[in-house]
Amino acid sequence: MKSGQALEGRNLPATHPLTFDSFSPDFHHIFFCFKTSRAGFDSFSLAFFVFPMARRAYDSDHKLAVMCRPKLAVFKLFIQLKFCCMKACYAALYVLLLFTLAACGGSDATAEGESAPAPQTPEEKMLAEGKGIGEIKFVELKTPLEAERIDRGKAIYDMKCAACHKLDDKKFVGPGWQDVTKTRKPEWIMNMITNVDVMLERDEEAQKLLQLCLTRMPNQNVSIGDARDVLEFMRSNDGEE
Amino acid sequence: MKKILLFTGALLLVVAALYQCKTKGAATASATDAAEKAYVAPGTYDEFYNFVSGGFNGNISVYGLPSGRLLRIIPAFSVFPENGYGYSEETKAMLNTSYGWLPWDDQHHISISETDGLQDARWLFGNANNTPRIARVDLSTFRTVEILEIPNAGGNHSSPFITENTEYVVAGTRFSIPMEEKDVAIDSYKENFKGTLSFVSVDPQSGRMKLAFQVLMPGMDFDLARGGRGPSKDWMFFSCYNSEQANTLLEVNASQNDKDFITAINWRKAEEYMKAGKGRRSTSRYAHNTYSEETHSATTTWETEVLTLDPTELKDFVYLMPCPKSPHGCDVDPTGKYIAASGKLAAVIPVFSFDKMLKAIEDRAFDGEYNGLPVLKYDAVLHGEVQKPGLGPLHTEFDANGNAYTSMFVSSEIVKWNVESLEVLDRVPTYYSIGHLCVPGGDTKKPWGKYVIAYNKITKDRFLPTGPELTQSAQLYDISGDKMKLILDFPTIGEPHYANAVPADMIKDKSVKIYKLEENQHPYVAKGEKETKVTRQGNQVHVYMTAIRSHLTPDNIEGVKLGDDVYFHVTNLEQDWDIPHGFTIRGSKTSEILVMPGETQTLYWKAEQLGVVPFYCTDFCSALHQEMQGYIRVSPAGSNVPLKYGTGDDMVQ
Repeated sequence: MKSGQALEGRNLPATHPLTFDSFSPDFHHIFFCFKTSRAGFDSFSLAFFVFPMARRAYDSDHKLAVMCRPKLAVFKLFIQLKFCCMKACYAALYVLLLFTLAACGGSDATAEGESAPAPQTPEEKMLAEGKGIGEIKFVELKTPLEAERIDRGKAIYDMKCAACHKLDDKKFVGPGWQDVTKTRKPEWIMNMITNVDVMLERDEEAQKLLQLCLTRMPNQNVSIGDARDVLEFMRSNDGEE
Repeated sequence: MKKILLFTGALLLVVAALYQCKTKGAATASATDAAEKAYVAPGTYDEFYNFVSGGFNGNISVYGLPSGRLLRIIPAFSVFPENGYGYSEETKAMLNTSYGWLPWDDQHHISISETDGLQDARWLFGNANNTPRIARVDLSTFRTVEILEIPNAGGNHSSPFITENTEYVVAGTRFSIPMEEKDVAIDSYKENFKGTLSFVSVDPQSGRMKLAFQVLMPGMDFDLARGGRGPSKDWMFFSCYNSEQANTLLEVNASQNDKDFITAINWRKAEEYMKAGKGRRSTSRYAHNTYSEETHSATTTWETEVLTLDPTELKDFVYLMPCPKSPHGCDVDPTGKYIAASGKLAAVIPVFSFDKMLKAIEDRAFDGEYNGLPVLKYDAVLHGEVQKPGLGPLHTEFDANGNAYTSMFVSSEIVKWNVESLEVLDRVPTYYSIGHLCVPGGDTKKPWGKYVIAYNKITKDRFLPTGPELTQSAQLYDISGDKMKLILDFPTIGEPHYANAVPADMIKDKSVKIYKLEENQHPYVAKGEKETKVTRQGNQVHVYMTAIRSHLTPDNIEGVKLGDDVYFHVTNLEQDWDIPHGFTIRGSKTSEILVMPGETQTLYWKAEQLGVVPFYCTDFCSALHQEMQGYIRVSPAGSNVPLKYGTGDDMVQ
């Protein structure tokens, strides 16, 4: 399962296609394909092995999909086996064969059962609260606004943000910034600026924006301190004083 | 009966499956074994960076080992339209020389910077063989950041070999020439021709190079060189041929003498002479090109001063060791005690002892003089000879276990021998006609070992034919066991000569990902779309343009007149890794430019035809890359179309 594992650590797009893998080069005529989810690679099981079907792929959410193209001779043998009355022996052999195949190729793959819903992690809690995901857990906002922050935030906006975000409510490349501080939590805004790749992968609101704009917001290498300044500028843009 | 047969059949199937499983790979053990050793799974990294000279392509290529995958080409001495090197306004100056602006050279050898005889992998040095120069590449950006021209040299072959702490990088001329470009008869070689061995100092902090001094040598051909290490760290060794001082048909005329020389130079002593104000100062104009990562621009400084040290006047720092038959490689082993020299036409590999050399100098064990330079007695300096190594020995690299690996051009093989005992231990064929070879870190105190890579001159039937011109190739051998084992053939670009390899961990984590916009000091930078503009100075039009996924600003430009010189200064506003933008315009007479995140690069374009001319981003940057385009309008010279530019609705006039 080498290629599968290699994929696991990488940022797969949310709509990652089916990934194909074979058990071993020796069984090149039998392909198993797996659906990958955003979280990584699904565990697989050999619960069903649909032999005579030339192609059959399950594209449901988390279930194993199997594709088989057995060699003709092997196929015929199994058709005959079907009518064999030594059902017990046949079943035993069948299981043994499956077991052999599984042991041979899938030695480093372990079956994982559906795990019971885990208690909410701090990250999930933040996501659920609309704070996004990232290093920013809590932002303390002060009034009146800090003028120095606004100036610095404006300078960063001009250099790194203005190419895509306008200050009114019109979408340009990305959404206009007007009222962003009224509709998003400050933590969400700062996490979006400083941790955009993970946000686009994990945060539903960020994903909705990607679907709307179709251009991934770039990581503009803005530090947390600078992001705080940008936030202050946004508040000022939204009319706060 | 039928059932029994069926059952037996099924049983056989299971057995067969089990058998296949068990013997997986065993049937083709050697091939599978080799494949596994060179296999780097998709998505995983190689173990070594292999920096390979590009030969006649003039640039340096970077491969991963053990996979042999080409990772990058670092433009150095040849233009590279793929990213605009040599074409963009910023990089043009890198190719300035006293002979004018040169688009090409022949790149032969590389050195990785060292501290205490071990790779520190801060910089890579490369030589230009044709028009003598040394380039320095910064290994955090994989960019050529400095090129120094070498004056008074006919060709820079024995270069860019370094001393133990990268104090100096050397440049020995291959062709001796009359000094000061004198107009003399070619057959006055013996009288008028001289060879120079240049020592270029390297600033330990910045890496900046400076021609410290040149050692003036009798007219000969200087071939290769190697710095001493450990006990021999103050010495540099150069091989030379044509001690006959022939000026024509060298194939025959330079192969007459039974012995040529290894020139041993005590550079520490030469440095003392320099510091004591000795030597002759003269004037010579040569280019010194540096690239700034702050202004993203190259500048040429014209150097004029040369210090020459003449070893016939300033004594006791240059000695000649006789070496059989036109030596080529001249390689110092990891202990610094032995120098293996490879006479291309010799039947043995002579190995010199550094200790014996010092003793011979002390004992004045001289075998006469050659053009006023002391020649040491062969037997007095010889550690021994490797007998019957093969035909046409060229270069030697070393592992950490006291073994040497010598390439044999004529007999197409690598021969492994023990440095102390001089015994041949193993030999493997190469396909075909190996030139240089490389053991990772094989030119340091502690070679990383593990592999030897052969760089072959002929591939003939090894790869799919591609017409008369075939790929060049490298071959990877596993040397972790007693016997060398071929594990991979891989094609190379250009013609590889010397190469070296550095463990991936020494480089990958310091690799620069972006240039910070805040630190961009380019005179025409636009740090944000707010700073974009178009200005006119006489016939020059400067476009301060920005690029970000997925638009250029300004993308509509009017008011350019026929005959205008237009400079597109494109700043990439992205601050994320691996998001370059490209830029070109229809009719571009240079190339495209590739602009890295946070960088500014400039494409020059002359408005030579009336009309509206499209430009676009050349690097597929995003889903809307095809939308990343614009127009420039060229009006007649006398027209009153005003300068007007912008993107979207924000046109500025």
